Amino acid sequence: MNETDCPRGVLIVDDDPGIRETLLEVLEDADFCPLAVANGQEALEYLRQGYKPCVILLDLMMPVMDGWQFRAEQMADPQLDPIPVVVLTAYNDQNGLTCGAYLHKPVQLRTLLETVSKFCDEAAA
Amino acid sequence: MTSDKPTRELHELREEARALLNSIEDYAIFLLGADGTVLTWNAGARRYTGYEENEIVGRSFEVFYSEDDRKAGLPQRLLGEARDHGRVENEGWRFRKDGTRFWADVIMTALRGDDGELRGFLIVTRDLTGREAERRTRLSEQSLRMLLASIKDYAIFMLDPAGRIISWNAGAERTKGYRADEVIGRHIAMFYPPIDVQRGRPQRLLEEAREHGRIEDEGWRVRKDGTQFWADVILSRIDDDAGHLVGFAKITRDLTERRRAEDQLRVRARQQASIAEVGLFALQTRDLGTLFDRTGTIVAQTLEMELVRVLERGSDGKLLVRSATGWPDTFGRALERPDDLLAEQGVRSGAQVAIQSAGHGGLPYGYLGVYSRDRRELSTDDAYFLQAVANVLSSAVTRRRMETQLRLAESQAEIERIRATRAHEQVRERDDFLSVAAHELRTPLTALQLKLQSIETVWRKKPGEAIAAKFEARIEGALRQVERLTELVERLLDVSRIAQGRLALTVENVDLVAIAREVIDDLAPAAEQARSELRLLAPEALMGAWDRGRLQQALVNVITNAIKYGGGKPVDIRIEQKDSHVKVAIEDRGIGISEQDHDRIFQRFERAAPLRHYGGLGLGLYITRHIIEAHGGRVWLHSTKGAGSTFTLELPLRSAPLQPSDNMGALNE
Repeated sequence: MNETDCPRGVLIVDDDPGIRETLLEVLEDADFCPLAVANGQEALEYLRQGYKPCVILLDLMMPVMDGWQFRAEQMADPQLDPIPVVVLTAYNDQNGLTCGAYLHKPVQLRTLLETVSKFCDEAAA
Repeated sequence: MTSDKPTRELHELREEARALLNSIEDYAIFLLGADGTVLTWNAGARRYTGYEENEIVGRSFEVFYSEDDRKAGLPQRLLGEARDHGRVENEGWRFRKDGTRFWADVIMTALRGDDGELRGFLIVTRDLTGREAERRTRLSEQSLRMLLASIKDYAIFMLDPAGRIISWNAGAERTKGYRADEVIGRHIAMFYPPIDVQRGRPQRLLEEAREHGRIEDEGWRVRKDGTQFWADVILSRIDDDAGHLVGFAKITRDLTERRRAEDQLRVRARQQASIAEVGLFALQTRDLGTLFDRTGTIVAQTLEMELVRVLERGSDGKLLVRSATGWPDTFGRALERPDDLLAEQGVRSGAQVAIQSAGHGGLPYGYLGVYSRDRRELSTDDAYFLQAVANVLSSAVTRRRMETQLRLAESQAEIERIRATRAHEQVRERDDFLSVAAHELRTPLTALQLKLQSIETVWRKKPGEAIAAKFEARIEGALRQVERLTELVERLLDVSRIAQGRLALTVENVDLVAIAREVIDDLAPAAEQARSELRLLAPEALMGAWDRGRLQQALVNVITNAIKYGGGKPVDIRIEQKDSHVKVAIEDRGIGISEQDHDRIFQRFERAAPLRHYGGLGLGLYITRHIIEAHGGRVWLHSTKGAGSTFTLELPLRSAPLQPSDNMGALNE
């Protein structure tokens, strides 16, 4: 199944390869269709090509384009703005960022899956 | 002897004598009767008294006497004396017919007959009026001379028209040192300094006195011993009655003392000006060498001494020449042997005063010396001046040293400040590093935790046979390690937050007893393992406004410590309310903490027990203290080494949490 067509698509935006790999594993295990990119710039490219995940798992501190910049671009784009964002960060500092939910590293698997499911189920409903 | 011829001859002789007597004008010669009646008269008598013969003969001779003399009986007494002694001589005033008087020398001779009977008196009177005046002049002149001679404060002497000395007095002798016989006849030029004589000053003064009648002059004069004195001179021209110059009167007063006093005042004024100059310069210049050089010049000029130097004590205690004024090209050698200079320069007089300043083992900082190749006597004033200048230099030296010390202290303070800033920066850098490191640790922890949990999940969904249980146990073990790592990371982050003042509380209404029960339940397995019993002594519930998570954390820290160091004995947790405060006391019966460690253990990374036996970061009590303090409470410890410890956490019922200094840290704790 092509991840771009999967209704339970999750866009993972994180510069850490270990996190990307792990999130891909656990989300695939839970029957999501995750796609992982290393920064906000790459995420925007995918999204503007028409990729529509049911939720975006967004790290904040990243090179090239960080989470705040990505969020600003996303909210400025009417096509992208409706896609819910779950921030997953090691820092406690969200610095004024608004989003659907916050998850703090290290996150429990159960918490992660419940949160992602909530947004994707809403999108599916 | 015949009777006739001798009688006629005698008669002729008598007539001749009478004529002769009558003609004598320079003497009044006349006869008185025994009673004093005028019997005869002559030309002299007429001339002296103004009486004609017919006016006076037959009258008493008393008319020639003053009334006072007559009343005193002088005329009769004189007659009596002449009668008794045959002759009496008397000088005194006699009065003329016109009432004027003349000074008369009167000789009265008693005339007796052959029978010895008194017949009368022969009066011979000479007018001595002129001679009396001369005598009186001579007398007054003599007394004046004596007066002048006795005057000691003024030299008073007469000069002839050429300027030669013709009289001398005691004052002159005292002032000039010459006796009268040494100077009479000599010219007054002898009293003038050679330079004045060369310039013709004595002669000029005489000429001016001749011309103007009187002149005053001040100047140096020379004594017999060659010394000089400052003289105030009045030179007056003296004329005779006809207006011809007969000489000069010279009155000289020795003003040396006055002059010396004036000089002294002038010198003092100059010295004071010089002290002020040195003082001002000392204030202006920071360089001691420049100050010493300038001082040397000023002192040399003021005291009129050719050589001035400042000696300075070197660090080895030896005196070195720091500054020298008037010493030609010997400065280099002077540095080695300062005292050889004096002999070398032919110094014959001088003085040296100490420049005092603390810090040389009680010895003076150095010396200020003035020297001359002449024999120079320094006055008391000069000595005071020198000492005053040395005092100014002392102040400058002291000030200089204090400035140096101040600068040293300032630079040390600056170094301390920089060191403190650096230390502070290092602490901040370490905290930043700690923070970043802990945050970075969370990322692999996240991946590790998620992987293990996913394996566990998958494993549970599809359990294998015999191997399954084994793997499950191992995965559980791995996850416990992840938990431990996570806990460590969180404690490190707490330390970082506390250090940065960012430990924030989320205050809500919570039940402290319930929290304590939860913590005790959670720790029960660990307590059991340590064979300690956790005993809660508390009311049913105790509500207050606190941060639930932080209180849990604090209780966990303290109770964990109690279990850890409790030595397998029961641990009591007592909760009680006292007024507006709540006390939580955690009492163990373990190894205890010696008093000296009580404060230290609440510090970061500190522990009382040796690391070898008891692990841990040593952060628990530090974090606990800050959690309780952030609630507005306090933590203290009662402990006896070997007998156990009681940690008490005191909290206000409703805590007004301290606001974090940076609100970014407050979010999502």
